[in-house]
Amino acid sequence: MYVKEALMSSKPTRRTFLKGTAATAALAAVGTCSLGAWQAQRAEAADDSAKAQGPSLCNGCSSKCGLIATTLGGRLWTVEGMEAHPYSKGTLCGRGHGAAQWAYSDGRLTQPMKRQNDGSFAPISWDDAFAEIGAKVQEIIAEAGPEALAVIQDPRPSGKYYSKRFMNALGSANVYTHAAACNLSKESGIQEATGATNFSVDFANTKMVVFIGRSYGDGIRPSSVKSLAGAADAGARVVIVDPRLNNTGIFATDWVPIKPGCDIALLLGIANVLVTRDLYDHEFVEQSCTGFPEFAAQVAEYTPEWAEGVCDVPADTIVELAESLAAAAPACAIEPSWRAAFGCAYQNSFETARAVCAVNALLGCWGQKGGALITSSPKAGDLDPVKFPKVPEPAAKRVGDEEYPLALAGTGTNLAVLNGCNDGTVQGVFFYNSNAVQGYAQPAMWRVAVVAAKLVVAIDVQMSETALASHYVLPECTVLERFELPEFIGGKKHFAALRTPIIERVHPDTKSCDEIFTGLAEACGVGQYFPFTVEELAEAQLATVGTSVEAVREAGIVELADPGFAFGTPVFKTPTEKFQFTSAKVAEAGLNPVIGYVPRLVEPAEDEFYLVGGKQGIHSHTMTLNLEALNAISREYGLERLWMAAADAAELGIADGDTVELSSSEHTGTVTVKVTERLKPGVLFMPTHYGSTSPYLTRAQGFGLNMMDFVPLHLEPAVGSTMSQEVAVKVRKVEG
Amino acid sequence: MEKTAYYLRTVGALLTTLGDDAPAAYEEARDAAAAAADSKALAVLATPDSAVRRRLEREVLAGGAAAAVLPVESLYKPWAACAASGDGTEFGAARHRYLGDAAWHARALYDGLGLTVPDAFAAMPDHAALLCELAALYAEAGNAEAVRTLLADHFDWLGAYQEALAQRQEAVEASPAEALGPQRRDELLRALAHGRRLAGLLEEIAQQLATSLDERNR
Repeated sequence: MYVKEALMSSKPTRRTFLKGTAATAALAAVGTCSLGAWQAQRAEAADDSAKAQGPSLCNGCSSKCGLIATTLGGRLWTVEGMEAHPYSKGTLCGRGHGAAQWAYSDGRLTQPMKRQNDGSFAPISWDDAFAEIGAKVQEIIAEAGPEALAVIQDPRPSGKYYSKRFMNALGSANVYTHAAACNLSKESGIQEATGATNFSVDFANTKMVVFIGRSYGDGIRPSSVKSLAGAADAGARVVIVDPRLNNTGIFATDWVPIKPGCDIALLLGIANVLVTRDLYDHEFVEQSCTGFPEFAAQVAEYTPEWAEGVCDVPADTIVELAESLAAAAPACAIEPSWRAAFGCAYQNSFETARAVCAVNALLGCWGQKGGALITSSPKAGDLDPVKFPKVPEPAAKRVGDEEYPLALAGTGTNLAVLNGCNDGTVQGVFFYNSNAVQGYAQPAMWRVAVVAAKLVVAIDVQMSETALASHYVLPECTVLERFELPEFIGGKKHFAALRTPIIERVHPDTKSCDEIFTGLAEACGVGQYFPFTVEELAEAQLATVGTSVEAVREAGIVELADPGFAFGTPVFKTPTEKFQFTSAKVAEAGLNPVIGYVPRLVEPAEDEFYLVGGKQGIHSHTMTLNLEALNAISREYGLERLWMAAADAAELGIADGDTVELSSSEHTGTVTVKVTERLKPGVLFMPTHYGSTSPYLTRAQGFGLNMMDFVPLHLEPAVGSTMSQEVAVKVRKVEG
Repeated sequence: MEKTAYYLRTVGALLTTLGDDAPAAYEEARDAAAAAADSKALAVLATPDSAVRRRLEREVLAGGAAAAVLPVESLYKPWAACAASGDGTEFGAARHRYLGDAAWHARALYDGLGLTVPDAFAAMPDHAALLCELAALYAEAGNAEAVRTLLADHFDWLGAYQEALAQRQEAVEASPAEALGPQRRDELLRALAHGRRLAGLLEEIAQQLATSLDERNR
C-alpha cells in the first residue's frame, strides 16, 4: 500500500502512497485549480463527449428490470427504466434507484474477509482465500464425498449458471435456490395442476381478477402495476383477498378481509358454488381435465357456509364472488401470486396453489383472453462441448429430494441444507446473493446449523447476517460494475437482455460472480470446467438464439424469435397431458391426490394473534435496508411499524405510535405500532425487511423487527417450504 | 511550512493499514513533531498498544468492516455539487458515498502532477493519507499558495470525521453484550478513541499550517 523511501541521511524514512514522481517545477507552479474553480469548469462545460449510456438489469430484487444508466466522465449520474424491457416498461421503482447507490456506498465489502476466533473479520487476499477454501473443500470431499457440499443462491443471470456448474463440477447435486422461503409451494402446486410453474393474468382483456394476498402496489415490477392500472381504468373488477388492505387497494373494487392461511377455504367454497350450481365450464373440464369426478365429489362438502366457518369470509360474499367470476368467465382469473399468502407461508400453501388452479379450470379461463395464460421461455441452445465442457451428472441425489419429492427440480428446498448441517450430511455450504440465515427460516436454527458446518462461504456485496456467520466472505462487485450472462425473458414475446459494466470497478479488490466461481473452481481442482470467459459464454449462448452481445449491448434488449403465442386452451405439460384435478405424484408423496382442503398448522389461542408479513415498495427482503436513501425513507415514514387493527388496539389500550412488545415461542422484541382500519382484527402485519442483527449493516441493525425471528422452524410436508407465517404471537403495550 | 507539512504527512499515514510497521510510523510522527515545533508546540501521540492498533486497522480503517469509519473526504461531504449539462444527478448532495467531487478533484490534481493513485486507494483518491502527502509535496517545493488552497478545499471535513467516529463509539457502547465479546468491545472502543485523537491531531496540524501560511502572507 505504501512505499518507504530512504531519503537523505539527515531526514527520517517517509511513507509514500502516491505513485510516480512529481516534477518539482510542477509542484512549485502557482495557480493550482481550486475545488470551486474545478466544479465551476465542469458545470459550464457542455461536454457531451463525457456523457455515456449503457444497459444493465437492476438488482434491487429478482425481477431484473432493464435499466439504462448514464455516466458523466465515467461517474454514474442517473439510472432510468428501459422502455423496451417487459418488466420495467420505462420505469424503475424505488428499489432500483436505491440499489444504484450500492456502487459508491460506504456499506460495501471491499476485500475478502476471514472470520477470526473472536467473531471479528480480518482482510485476506484472494489467493489465500481461494487456497484455504480449496483445501477445505478437498478435505470434505475426501472424508464425506462431494455430496457433503452445497450451494444456496438467489438466482441471477451469472450466479445461477456458475454456482450450479461449480457445485456439479465438484460432484455434488446440492444446488438450491431461495425458493423454499419464497414461492416454492406456489410453483410446485401450479406445476402439479398445469405442468407449468407459473402463469400470468391477461390484464389487457380481463373483466375480473382476484388477488390472493399478492400486492402489486407493494411488490415488484413496474410493468405489473401498469398492467393492473390499465385493467382498473378499463373497469375490471379487482378483488383483494388479504387480511390487510394492502397498497394495491388504490386499484381495487373489493377488499375481502380473510383469516390468514385460510385462503384455501375461500377458493374451495368458490369451487363448490361453481360445481354445485353448474356454473363451471363443461367443455374445458370434459376435454382438457383429469380427475374432475373425484374433485367434484370432494368439493361438495366445501359449502360457502363451511368456508365461512374456516376463513371468516361471509358465505354470501363467497357466493357472490363465484357467481361474478362465472359471469365474467373466461375473461377472469385468480391471480397466481408470488410469495405473499401461499408462496411458502403455511402447511397448506402447496394445496392453496392447486386450489387457485382448480378455480381457474372451473372458470375455463386457462389460455383465454382476459384469463390465465401459460407462456413459454427461451433458453440457450447446445454449445460447443470443447469450448464449454459438459460437466458430468453428479452421482448422488440432491440432499432433501427424497423427503421432499414435491420440491421443484430447479430449486430443491434449501432447508434440507439446514437439516443436513445439523446431521452431518452437509459439511460445506456456499451462499451466493443469499441471506438465508436472516430471512429463510428461524435465524437461530440457521446459526446453529452453519456453526456445525466445517466450511461456510458467503459471496455478497455487504456483510449480511449470513456473511457474518460464514468462515469466509468474498466480496462481489455491484451490478453496474460487472458483465453477466444473458437473461432470457419469457412471456407472449421472448427477449434477451444483459448486464454490462457501466462504471469501472470502484473497489479493485472485488470480483464478479464468474471470476469468483472460476477462481474457486481452480482452487478446488475443477478449473478444467471453466476454460472460458463470461463474455465468451455469453456470445455463444446468444448466438444459439440468433443474436449477439454487441446487438444486445447496443439495443439494451433484443426481441427473439416469435414463440407463436396464441390464445386458446394451452398444452398442459403434465404426465396426463391434461389439467390435473388429481395428481399421482401428490399421492406418491403421501398427500391427498385430489385438490382439497388442508388446514393451516398453527392456530392462535384466545389471547394470541395471527402474524402476517409482506413487502414494501422500496425494499426487497433483508437486502436493501442498509442502503442509505431507502433506509432514510423507512425512518421518515416509520415503515418498520407493526400494523394493528384499530379494534384490537382499543381493546388493549394501545394508541398509534406506542411501543409494543411482540412475543412468540421463539422470540420477543419491541417495536412501534401503527394502528389502522386497514387490517382484519385478530391479525398483526409486519413488513419483512427489518430487524437486522449485523453490526456491519450500521443503518439496518436494530431497526424494527425481523419476522422470521418469531417463527418456529417447520418444513411443509413433501414440499419443504419454510411455513413462514405458521406462528401465533402475543402483544402488549410497553409502559414508560 | 515544510516541517509542519511533513508532520501532517506522517500523521496522515497513521490512518492507513501499517501492520508491523506501525511502531516505526508513530516514531516518525513524533520525530516530525519535534522538528516542526518552531513557534508553537504541536501535540504528539503515544504509540497505542498493538491490540488497539490492530483493531483500528481491521475494524475501523478497513472498508466494509464492523466499525468501519474511513478517513475519506467524499464520505463526509456532498457527493456532487455540479450539474453538468443541465442534468441532475441520481445522488445529489448525499453523503457517505465514495468518489464524490472531492475524489475527482483530488485525482485531477494528481493527474496534473504526473502522480497516480495506487489500486488500494482506487476508490479513495481523497483519503486523508494521500491528501496529506500532496500537501507535503507542495510544501517541499515551496508552493505556499497550493498548500493553502489544498487545506481550504480538502481539510474541512475532519470535524465530521471525528463526529462519525464518536457516533460509532456510541453504537458500540450501546450494542448488546452478545454482539461483541468483552475484549473485542474494549479494544474497539479504545481503537475508535485513538482514531478520534488521530483525526483531531490532523485537524490541529492542518489549522496550524493554514494559520502560519496566512501569517506569512500578511
